Amino acid sequence: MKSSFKINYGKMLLQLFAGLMFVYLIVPSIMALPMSFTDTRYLVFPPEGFTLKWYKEVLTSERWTLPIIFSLKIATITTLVSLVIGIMASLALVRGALPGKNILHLFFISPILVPVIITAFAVYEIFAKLHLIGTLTGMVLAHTILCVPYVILIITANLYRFDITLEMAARNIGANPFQTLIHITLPMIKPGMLTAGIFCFITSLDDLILAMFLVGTKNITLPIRIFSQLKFRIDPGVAVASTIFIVAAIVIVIALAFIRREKKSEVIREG
Amino acid sequence: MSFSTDKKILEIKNLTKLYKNVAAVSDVSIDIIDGEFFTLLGPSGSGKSTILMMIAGFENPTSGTIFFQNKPINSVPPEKRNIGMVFQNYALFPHMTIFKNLAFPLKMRKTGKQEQKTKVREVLDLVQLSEYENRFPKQLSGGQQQRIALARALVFDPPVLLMDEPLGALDKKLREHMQLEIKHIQSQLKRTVIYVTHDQEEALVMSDRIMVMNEGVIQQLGTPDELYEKPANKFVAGFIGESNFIEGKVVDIKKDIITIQMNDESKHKLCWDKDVTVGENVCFSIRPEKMIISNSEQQLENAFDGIIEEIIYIGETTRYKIIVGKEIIINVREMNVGDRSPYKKGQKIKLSWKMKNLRRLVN
Repeated sequence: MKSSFKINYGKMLLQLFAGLMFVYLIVPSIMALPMSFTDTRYLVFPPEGFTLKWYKEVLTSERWTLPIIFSLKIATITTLVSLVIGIMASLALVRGALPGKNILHLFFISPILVPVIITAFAVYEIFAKLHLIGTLTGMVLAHTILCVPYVILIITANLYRFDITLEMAARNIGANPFQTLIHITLPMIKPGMLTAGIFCFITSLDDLILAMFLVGTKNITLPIRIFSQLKFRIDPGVAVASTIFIVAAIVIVIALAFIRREKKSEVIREG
Repeated sequence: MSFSTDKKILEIKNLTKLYKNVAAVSDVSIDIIDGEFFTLLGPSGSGKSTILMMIAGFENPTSGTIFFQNKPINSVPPEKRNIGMVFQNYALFPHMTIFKNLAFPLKMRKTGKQEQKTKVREVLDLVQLSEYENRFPKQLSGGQQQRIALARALVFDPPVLLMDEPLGALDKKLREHMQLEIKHIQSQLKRTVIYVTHDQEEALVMSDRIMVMNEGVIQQLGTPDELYEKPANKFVAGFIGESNFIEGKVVDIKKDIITIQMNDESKHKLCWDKDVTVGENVCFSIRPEKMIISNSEQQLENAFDGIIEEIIYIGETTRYKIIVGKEIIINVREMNVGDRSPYKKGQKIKLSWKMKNLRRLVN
């Protein structure tokens, strides 16, 4: 009896600790949510009154909608470009007969290891000469530098785990290397592509540092808008933009978990 | 089947494969006859799978040529070879249904949709899995996946089928069942099969001809009974079935009786009427079931004196471990036709055999 009481006590402590950790991790993220409904002209916690006018402002005023659209454009194109480059590089790294593959692998991943601000500075110098500052192309190119390493990390791991006899079997029964890639390899690494794609999208959407160097005066990204808003005029529109961000992220995470569970239950049914 | 008059479908000439100067396959030449079940048999690392990979086009020979239907195919990519292959782990595409797996080779050949359906149904019928076409590979048992893999390799009508240890992952009972089924399908379709296995029993059951390999070199090529009854060397005699080896130096010859000094210095007489000279080192092999145990009082010319060391009863046969001389061990197997063994452990016996069952091996 005594010992079982002790175990319960320990368990309670553990649960308390887990609960505190959860609060610690989640609260800063959801603080913006109640603040976005405040009826004041400035950000305040706890919110005073209730209004949706800030939502109306963010969703209709060009001050907000243009950066949101610009950011989404950059993120979408960056994701597609990074996936194509990253997958091709991964195929070469895993399947190719390259000399010094390990060194190349490290080289491809190195942008992750360099502080973004250093990349940003270097890119700024070059892009200024090429007149890419303030352009969509410039932003996509810069974000792709950040995203490709993640794609390579995820896709090479997928390819190493992947059973190569599947590709051999496809070749054996009549598929050329390209058909094998389209019908066998890519469908098999689809989960990895999905994960890598989400990673790219969020990385691009989240970037402030590169954008600070590379956006011009006309087109700015959402993080830049939030940042300058916080600096000069702290209105609840910032909380609204943040809330939209957070809700989108939560939706993506839930969708991912849902896909995973679907997969798992499939395996269980098959087992 | 008389092979000399039949037509060659695949010809391998002086095939060699080096990996960093180590020969995985060393100067192998074979003619494979249309319609035969040909097995490459050997322990792991003997080079048998490497030969299969070179025939399929997944490995390039270091030297030598492979001819398929009289044309060299060394530089033909795998997808253009039209040679089917069944992989050890089946290699079914997990993201496709059974139907799509089977239709894949036809789709790659741009076969019409209707013909795809007909052909897929045909092979599904052949492997008796018609009702599974909408399932996914993981929903099938190992034996069923094996049959689908076979069906996929057959659906595009390749003249030659390669099988790389296809039954390795199955349990013994299912394996024995599948051996007969594959053999049945092969003879029904009159298809040439090149089969790789390390299981000598499987090779004996299934094959028309067997090529035994070790360390990249052909040890012997022949029909199952040739290999069993007339092994060419010590490796084949030991690898196919069980063998007793009688090794030593000839120290005396009197007519047809020679005296051998064995490795433990003990001397034994035995009958041998073929060429042999005094001072020569010889190695004879004899199968355990061809040895006869009898009471030690009997006077026999062609016999060793021995002591029974161990008796193991295993149902249809009884196995004896017998010590001859100081430490030469001879295994004997007797069918249990009558009562249980009349011999006891530690008993002195005579061990005899017919001279024709003794085989001299080249060293």
